Parts: sequence; structure tokens; C-alpha cells
Amino acid sequence: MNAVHSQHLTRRFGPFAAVDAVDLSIPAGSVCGLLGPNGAGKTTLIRLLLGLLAPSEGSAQVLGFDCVRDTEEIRRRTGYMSQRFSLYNDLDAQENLLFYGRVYGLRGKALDERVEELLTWSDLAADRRRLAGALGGARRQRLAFACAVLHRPPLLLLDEPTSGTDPFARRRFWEMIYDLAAEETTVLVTTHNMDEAEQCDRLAMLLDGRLVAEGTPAEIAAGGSLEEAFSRLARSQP
Amino acid sequence: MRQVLLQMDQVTKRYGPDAEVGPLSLSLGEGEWVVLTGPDGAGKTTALRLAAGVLAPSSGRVQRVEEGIGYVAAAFSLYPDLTAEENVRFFARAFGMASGQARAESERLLEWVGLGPHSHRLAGQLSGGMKKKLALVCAVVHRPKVLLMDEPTTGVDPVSREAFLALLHEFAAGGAAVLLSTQYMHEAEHAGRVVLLDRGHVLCDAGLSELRARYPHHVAEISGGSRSALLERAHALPGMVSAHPLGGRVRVVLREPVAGLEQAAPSLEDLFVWLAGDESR
Repeated sequence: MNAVHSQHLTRRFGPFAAVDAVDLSIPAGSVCGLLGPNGAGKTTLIRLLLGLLAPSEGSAQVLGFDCVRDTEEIRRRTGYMSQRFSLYNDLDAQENLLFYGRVYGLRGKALDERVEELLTWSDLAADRRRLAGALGGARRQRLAFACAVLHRPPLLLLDEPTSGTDPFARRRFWEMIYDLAAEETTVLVTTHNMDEAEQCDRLAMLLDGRLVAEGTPAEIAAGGSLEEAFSRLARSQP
Repeated sequence: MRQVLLQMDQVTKRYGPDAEVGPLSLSLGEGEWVVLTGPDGAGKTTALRLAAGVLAPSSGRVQRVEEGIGYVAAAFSLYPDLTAEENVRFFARAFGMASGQARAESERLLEWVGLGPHSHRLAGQLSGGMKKKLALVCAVVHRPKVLLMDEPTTGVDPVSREAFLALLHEFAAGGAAVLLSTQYMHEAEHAGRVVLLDRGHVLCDAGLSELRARYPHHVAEISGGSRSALLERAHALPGMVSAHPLGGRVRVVLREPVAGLEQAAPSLEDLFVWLAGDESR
């Protein structure tokens, strides 16, 4: 079963194809890394999948829903964590979770229990009363992640999630990602970082709007390093 | 004997009664490329700012060559309402370059890092990766002998990063010294030396091959099966130090090699975790 499945997905802005005939399949419960230089079309592709932009050609199904017709269904089932974290700095950790929980429609005991569960899972129980703005980078990151998964979305989009955090924080964060994948959550990660790309089950690389490589990190690296493989791919394009 | 371009002796910076970075001692010679890494809060930014002279030390001494320092802060600190090209020319002129030379150099450098087609866009409207490249260009336009950079490649894509690193290679090959901080272990592969900071102190200052030789553990990778099954298998191995998933595989650190397991070379991340210790932080 594929969580994401696109056929010939294309989006043009005037004569320019930002996403160009992309056939992409992401198996449910896998962690898929989306790579590509700035301007390769990663953000446009994500906006298409979420129904924030209409395709010029082609189609895509996300969690079995059509990305043009069923956008509300898709968005309700998707979690998103941006590079900027989007936390309320003058609310504490627990208040951020309670706020996002109410936005997602959780109330009463169900909300309290879910918040408690997430504070424990993200090692933030001791920091619950600290303002989000006063938390260090790694804790802020885990809080943003907990906020993104409050409503148990089967699809999670992470935009450069571990940019600028140290290897300890990165390993801890990826343990959380793998926890979710074990529960059949599909995770789509955009990243520029090969340390992070190596952590994914599968990788997809976009260049000039086209899907130029897809496979496991080992398949793409083909015996060398991922960084070399991507430079080679980028140079081989016209 | 190579000329020393930057020398820090027992330098400290006190931020309060319990917050101190240092004492740090570090030297950078001609043509050297050194990576500064360490856990969050280790003092990397403070060390670079002390080296650059934008922060005065509480004690100790910093000596620099007179030809100048190029410093790139982690935060974007160019003029957002000037174009890319105007920013470069501004810094060139500020460092005393003649107008014609400033124009030629800015054109050459922007082309080299792939910003040629964007040279007339406002700096504030460039993407994150482009801003980083522009900041580098502004820092090297006056040909400093020492280049100090705070996480210059965070958010830079792999293709641009290659151009970026090639520029640094050219820079170091010309006799200058490069000191950059990073959280990306892959980047340290390009450096001759790795300086690891932890809690304000230098934990190690050594070449990569030397660090690898000092690594006391053995690393193996296991694959086939679910992550949880692989982790269970890893934890049952004799002499297991730690195990963590890496994509579809699990990487295991072992005290002794275990027969029949695929050995892997210790990655810089493995070295980092070993040197900085305490996995539970």
C-alpha cells in the first residue's frame, strides 16, 4: 500500500515547469527523504500533494485520497513541522501542546492524556513549565515535533528537521521518527544533509522539477558516498 | 615552517559566575583547514567570535596576522535591501579595494559560487542557501588570510555545497587558513584537523586519521528484518556499547569484533559520540 502515489504530476508557472511529470510512490510506514538543490521543486511538490496548489497535468493520491478533490481529507490526516518550528515562544511547552491539541479538535480528558503522553515521549515532562522561547535547540525541536503529531496523522512532513542540531540531538530525534514509522506513520523528510538522508528508508531526488533518482540510500550511493552520488547526478543533467 | 596566522592562548570568555568558555588554545597555520565541532552549547560560536575579535576575551591572548580576517556569522548579516552584487562591492570597497577591481572581483566570485544569474536580486529575497554563499563571497572578497565561518553550510544543498567547499579548497591552497564550525560530520572529512569542543573546553585537536586510530571500539552494521527486530538482535550481541538505526540498517558499536558481522569504518559521528561521551544528554 502506498501512502503517496503520483502519476505524471506536473505544475507549470507560465512556461516554467516547477514539477515536471513526477511519478512517485512512497510505501506506507516508510521514511522517505526528498532531496534536491534549492529551486528543484521540493516545496512545489509538497504543496501539490497537500492540495495547496492544483496540478497543471497528472494526478496524485495521498493516503488514498485525490489531491485535487479531497484536500480537506488529506490535510486533516497530515502533520507538518517547518524548519522554523512555529511554536509560541511566550507559551510554555505544555501550553503549546494544549493549544495545538485544541486546534486539532481534541478536548477534555482525551486532550490531557495525549499531551501527557507526548511530554513523556519527547522527554519534556521536566520542562513542561518552561517557555518555548527559553528551551534549547534540541528541546524546541522535540516540542515542535510533538505538536506536529498531536492528532496522530498517518502522514508527516518534516522540512529540514535537524538543521543545525548536534549528533546527540539528531539521534534522539530520529528515534522518535522511527517510533512513528513502526506505527505505520509515513514520514516525508526534505533535507540537504547527507547525514540525515542516510537515516531514511528511501530517497527521492528532484532536479529541475524532475524525479532523477529513487531508491534506498545504499542503492543510490552505489558503493560510494551519497554526497558523491548526488553531485554526479546533478552534473549529468543538461 | 608554516607561518602561524592565528594563535589563541588560554583564552576565556566569562558570561556569568557559572558560564565560562575556555580556556581555549588553538593555532591555525597557512593552508590549514580546521573544523570546529561539538554538542549544542559547547562554545563553538563564542570560540569563533573570540578568534575573529568581535568578542573581547576575559583573559588570555589572541594573535592574528595583519592581513585580515574574514568572518561569516551564523545569522544572515548582509544588507537585505542591496542586491547580491551591491553587497559584494560594498564589502570590497569597505576593505579599500579600487572600484574597478571591486566590480571585477564581485563578478568573478558570484559566478564561481553559482550566483551569477542572481547577482541583481535583492539579498533579502535570496533563498537560504544562496544567502550563505553570498555571505561567503562578501567575507573573502578582500582576500583575508584567515577565514572564520560559523555553520556556513547549514541549509545549503549538496550541489551548492560542493561549489562552496571547492572555493574553500582554493582559498586554503592559496595559503590562507580556514576554520569553520559545523554539526555535519560529513563536512569534517574535508578538513585536515578536527577540534572538538565540549562544555567550553577543547576535548581533542587532531587529524582525522589519528582520531580513527585512537577509536577503541568496533562498528558493525546489521540489516534484514524490521528495525525493532534488528535492534533486539543488536542488543543481544556480546560487548555491545550502543546501537542505533540508520535507514533500514542498524549500526552497532562493539567492544570486540563479532565474527560473521559486516564491519564498518567508524564514522565521524561515531568518533564524536565516543569523544563527547554521555549518550544520555
